[in-house]
Amino acid sequence: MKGFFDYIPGNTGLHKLNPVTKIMLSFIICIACFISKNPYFLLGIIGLNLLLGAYAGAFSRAVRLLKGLLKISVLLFLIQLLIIQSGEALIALPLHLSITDNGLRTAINLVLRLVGATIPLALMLSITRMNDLSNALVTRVHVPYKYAFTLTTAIRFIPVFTEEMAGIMEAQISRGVEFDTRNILKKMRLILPLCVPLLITSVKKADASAISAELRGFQLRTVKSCYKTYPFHVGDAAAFFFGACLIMGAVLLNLTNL
Amino acid sequence: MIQIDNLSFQYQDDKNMALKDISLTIAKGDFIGIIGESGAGKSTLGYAINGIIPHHYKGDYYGRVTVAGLDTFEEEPSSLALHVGSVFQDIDSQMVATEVEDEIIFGLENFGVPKEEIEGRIELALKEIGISHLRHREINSLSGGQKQKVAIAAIVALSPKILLLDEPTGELDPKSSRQIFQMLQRLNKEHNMTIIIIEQKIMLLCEYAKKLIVMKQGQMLCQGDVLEVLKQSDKLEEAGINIPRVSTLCRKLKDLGLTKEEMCIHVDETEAMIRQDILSAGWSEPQGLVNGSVKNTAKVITDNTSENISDVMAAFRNVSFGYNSEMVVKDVSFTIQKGEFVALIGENGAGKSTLSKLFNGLHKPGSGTVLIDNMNTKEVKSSIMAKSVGFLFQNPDRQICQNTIAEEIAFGLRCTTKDETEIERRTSRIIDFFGFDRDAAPFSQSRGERQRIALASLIAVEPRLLILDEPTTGLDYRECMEMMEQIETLNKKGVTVIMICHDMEVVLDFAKRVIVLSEGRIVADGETRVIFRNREALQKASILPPQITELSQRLGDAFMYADTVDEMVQVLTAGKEGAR
Repeated sequence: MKGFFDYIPGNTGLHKLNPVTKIMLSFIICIACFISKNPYFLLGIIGLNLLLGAYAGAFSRAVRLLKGLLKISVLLFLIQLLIIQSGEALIALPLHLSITDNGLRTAINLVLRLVGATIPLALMLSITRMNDLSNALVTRVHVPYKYAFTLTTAIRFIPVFTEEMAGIMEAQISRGVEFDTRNILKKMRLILPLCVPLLITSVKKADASAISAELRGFQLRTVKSCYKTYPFHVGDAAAFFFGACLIMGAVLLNLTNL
Repeated sequence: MIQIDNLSFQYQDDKNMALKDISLTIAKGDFIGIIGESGAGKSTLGYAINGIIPHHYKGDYYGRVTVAGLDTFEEEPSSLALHVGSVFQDIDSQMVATEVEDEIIFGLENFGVPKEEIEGRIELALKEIGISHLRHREINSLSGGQKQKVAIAAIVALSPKILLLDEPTGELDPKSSRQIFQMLQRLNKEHNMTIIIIEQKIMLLCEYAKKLIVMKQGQMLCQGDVLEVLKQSDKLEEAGINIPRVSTLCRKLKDLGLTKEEMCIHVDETEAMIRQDILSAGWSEPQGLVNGSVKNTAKVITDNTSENISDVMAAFRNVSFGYNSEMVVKDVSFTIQKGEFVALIGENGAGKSTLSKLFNGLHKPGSGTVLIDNMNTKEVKSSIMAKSVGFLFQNPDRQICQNTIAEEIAFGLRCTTKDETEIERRTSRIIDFFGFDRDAAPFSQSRGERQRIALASLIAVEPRLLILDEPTTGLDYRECMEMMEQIETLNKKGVTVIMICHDMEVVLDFAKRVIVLSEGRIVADGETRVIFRNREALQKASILPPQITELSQRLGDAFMYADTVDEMVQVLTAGKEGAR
């Protein structure tokens, strides 16, 4: 997880898009995923995600995300497969269970949707500077600065806390707590007492952060304060057009029932 | 510039007064160091100046503070911020941006600096701090020292008249700490900026600050020019502050009537004083070497691989380790005998912490082998190794997770044994040894006390090897000494100690062997006193030797291995007598 949300510098067309566009585009891709019932379309979206990642110089991170999602996908796939028993039975299993065509279709779609919908947002966040995001949300979408700042601060603190948690785990392993076990249930039980040090550090850091922001005039900030401007360009229009096409495509494919 | 009259303050929900009747005047262009034990009220005094008290932290407030003519009780901290810029110890919490430039723009935007002025201000601030080349860098890619410079630049861009810094070098290595001080000195000299810095590193304060304020338990013990304050050694001792060793030397020599010099802070002036007042006034190299015993014990450690294997605690054989493709520890080999006290030194990024994690298997060697107490770290889980290897981390808050000190100590024990009577017996013994209150909550203790609790819970397991990652960072002098004395006691009982440390005086006083790391490789390994005379190795690792060692080297061979104040006094007096 280390460095997962770190900004990936670059000068590509995607980097240059307005931060609002980037966020909107990733939401649109998510929506398209949930509208579509067509596995080929969903696979296409996953491919598109990887392409966008490669274009923005974030291909390795996209692949890492994909790998990370794989475990949970397999788990969800199996659960869906066993829960949905309607439709034609394809393979009989013990305990009066069977794998059905309905189950298989729903499970595949669920997993593809999950993967297709998760990657875009993470990808867009890693090619957007947090200040640009909050400033653009404030000046363009008129989100109150307080909320925009809270959002971006939360994202900024993710790696800080991940590192803190890793440090806590190391410290606890070193005193004999068995985190290096392979047993996941045991690990979960051991992790609970660790929330205490993490919580205490978080509160301290949040307080330090608040004091520091206060002394740098955070409360005085208004919409007009923003030094940089965030105009929309042709590229942004193209991105929105592309997003609209995706949604239309998803709807049309559903209607034609391919 | 700043006027404090009879200021007292008590935090809400706190029994004790944090500040007691402080009166103080700070003039424009001052460079003031505030020093004292942890809990002495240093930070609270800082908060009173930037308005965090009484606006952010509430409590009972008596007296009056005015900054640039503004009453801090009436003004909001954000309007005071244009006069007083504040920088803190926790580097990451201060940052708001992804890129250096945006970090500096943030404050300028907030205070409504006209847009056409912003570009000029950014350039100027970066230039002042000497980090123009970092302007478009990602903050995440910077070192701790660089980040702290960015934080200072972001404040300097607001052009405050006063700069207030609360332990800005707390997380930095000696080299970066010195750079921060040099930069502050420049701001003070060239722009007449008033600098107020809360700091534990007395040596740096003595070298760069003009005035000192000494605090203890919420009170101001003394204040004044650095030299004047240093002369009041009894008060400094009371406040738990270690004065520079050359200052102690100077005082002792004066008491012996060997010099008339009142006070020295730097090695340069001490050397000049000794040469002029003592060496040129009838002195000859003492015959029969008073400190000969020191000379003889300081032998270079030879490779001891052939020695009896049962005496070996740790053996590293051609060990390399890296994160991803970048190697951090490169082909390192050494052997540590049972009962040794070894210090690992080197600058930040030299690989010290990484190397230390190879000792208990938190890192498994990429190539080569690590044998600890006859266990191969590749084959044994770290949580099992915890029975014989105790690891004290720099930040005790990552270790502490229970509600009372007794539970905290028992927690570690429970991981290694199931016998409750044995757990209770050992817990009680450790609590007595450290003198803790068993039902006190660990988290409400001071930093130094939390560090001792973390150490106590490790020792309860009775490890044979103790790894300490900067055990004295963030502690004041008294806490540091308490900590180190306890470790020394353990070492005398036969526990092998390996310590990462940035404080060369602590290394000199306690470690018998030093391993110097630079860029992942061992550049020197040997007896502490010998290593501190290996200029080449120290330079490679950007380490300055302790003051008295530096002095003895400059004075010549007659002073070989006179590394402590007492040894130096001994050689000087013996030579004086010899000349008679």
